[in-house]
Amino acid sequence: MGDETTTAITTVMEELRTLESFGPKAVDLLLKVAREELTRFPSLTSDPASTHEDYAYDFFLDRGKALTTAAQLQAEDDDALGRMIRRWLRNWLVDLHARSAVGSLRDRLEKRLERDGRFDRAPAQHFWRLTDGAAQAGAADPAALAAVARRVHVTYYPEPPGGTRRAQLGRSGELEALLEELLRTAKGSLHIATLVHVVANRFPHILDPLTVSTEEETADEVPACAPSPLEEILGDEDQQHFETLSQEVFDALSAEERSLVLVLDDPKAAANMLGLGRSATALRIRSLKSKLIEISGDEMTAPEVVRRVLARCQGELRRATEPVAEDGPGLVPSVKDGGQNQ
Amino acid sequence: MTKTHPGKRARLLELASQTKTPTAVRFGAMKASDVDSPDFDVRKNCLWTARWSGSTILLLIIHESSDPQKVLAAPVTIEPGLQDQESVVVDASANDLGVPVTVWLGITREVPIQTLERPLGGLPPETLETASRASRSHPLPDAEHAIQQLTSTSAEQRAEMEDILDRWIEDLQPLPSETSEQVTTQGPIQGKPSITLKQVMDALHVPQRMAMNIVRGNYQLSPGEARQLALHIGSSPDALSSIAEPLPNELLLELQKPRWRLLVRSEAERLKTDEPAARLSVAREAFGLAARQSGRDEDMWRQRLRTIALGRLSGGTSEGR
Repeated sequence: MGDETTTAITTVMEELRTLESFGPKAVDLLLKVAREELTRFPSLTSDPASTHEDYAYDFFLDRGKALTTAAQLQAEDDDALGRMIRRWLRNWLVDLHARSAVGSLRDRLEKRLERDGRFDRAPAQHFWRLTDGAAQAGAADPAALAAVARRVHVTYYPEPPGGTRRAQLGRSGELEALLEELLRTAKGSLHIATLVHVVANRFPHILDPLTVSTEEETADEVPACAPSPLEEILGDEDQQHFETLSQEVFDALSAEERSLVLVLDDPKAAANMLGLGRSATALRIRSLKSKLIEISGDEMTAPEVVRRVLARCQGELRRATEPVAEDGPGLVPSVKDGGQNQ
Repeated sequence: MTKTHPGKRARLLELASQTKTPTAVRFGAMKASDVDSPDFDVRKNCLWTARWSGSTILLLIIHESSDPQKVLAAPVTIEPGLQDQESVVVDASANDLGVPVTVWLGITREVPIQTLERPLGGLPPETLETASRASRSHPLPDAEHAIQQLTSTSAEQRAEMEDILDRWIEDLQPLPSETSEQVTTQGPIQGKPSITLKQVMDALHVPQRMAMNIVRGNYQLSPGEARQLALHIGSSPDALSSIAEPLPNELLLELQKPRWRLLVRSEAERLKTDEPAARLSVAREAFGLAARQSGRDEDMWRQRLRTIALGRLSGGTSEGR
């Protein structure tokens, strides 16, 4: 109901209201939060030249005015202010990371384009063409390019349990094959940002902190670490292989994810099942969708694999709910009714 | 743990001290004179802070609702970069906060008026229309950026606001006359005793929940209890049977308006109770105020509440108490 009669601490809020700006107390709170939050972003702290004070400063330069306004209007006490600062800062850092992740994906793709004889720079800056293809800008219909990206197989190696190695995108030659197909589809040259966009969309986890490496150097070592030869299975239409693949996907899902798969398109049912609010549910759904997109293979196999994964999940749900009925209540005395239901 | 660098801290402090937000301060704490301020009328195109159950969000009033307890409103956020396909960004120059704000039109809801707290100024007419035309012509600010934003933080922000609004809507109690069938066929409410929660709690030494049931007329007093209560408030036990008289809807609706929120809050603090209970207590008091029966009901209740509010909130004494 309306008001909780708790004694909330408001020293920082009082300073904020008096000064109409962040004073020493609020600044120290921001610095503390920055130090804590940055531990989540190793990619940002790897450079010792940038400290948490520097990030806090850049953050405030960018969002300080909006934050100061929002804090005065919405934060009721110091706890709420701390939560607000943490959330704003984290979103800003995620954003910063995404930009740098996109930046490094771009560097990586450009390096591959440069090294491979099939590709060449187009006269227009930042555009790439096929050596044997047209130089003028191609038709970059995003839907068509996205469809190609799903069709061309690029091996995705999820992070193994235990986190010994980061998830891996693409074996030797696979990313190049994808880039070649994209340029053929466009029938002309494409801007590097378009290529980055398509690849990032196909593998959404690339932009999540700490997930995917596109380092070629380590890519060659991967097969030894990843016992399942996914690419051999893909391209082979044999039912047995679909079965194996869907089993692997199924095995990769937690018990909760298996139930969640069944209500993936129904946030309300998902929220009921998880017993969580919409926000927490949205988070789970997003992460599960990313996972499914990435491990179900390319356009040819994905629908069939996902269909089989669904069937497995449904089967499991049935098995989980049926045994009681099969055994019959008369055979096994139930603990709950004190054994009276004979 | 790294120690904070004094020079860098000073640099940040300097930057922060230059980042003043006087516009936000203008909409600072609630005060007694708010009861007479036209800003507190709930009007279309106005921004509000809304607070209930420990959550605070900003709202833009879109339209009045057919339900007098509610108003059609969309949540508003200030954090840059958060938006979805249906939201529109209103430029800093077009609102009184001095920063760009995002209006989440996709989660427009019938929000209980009782959650509204402070008015934050209005948007010029047609602002929304202009803003949505602008965002349609530039669908995505930056394609790469959008991948990240549309899939994660914005979706979470949106879901969280939906949760809060859903909770607020569930929290809203229907007006008493909508729930109970009892229709009083009594004459004019001349000389009806009116009892506040506090009086019942003090007189009968009962917990607040019980007192609320008594005040609402949901609990039949024993003759002894009726005598005790009557003694306490200086009324006759017979008159107390009319406690069951339901409070008029016009009064209860009026009290849900943000204009009276400070009064209700101070009553809640005084009684150590929550806002709905405090509102009932204030309503009883207004109901019992010996005032001349004149004018439209709405105006009458407003006048009575104003008397109570000014008496209590401006710290002075009032003939009403």
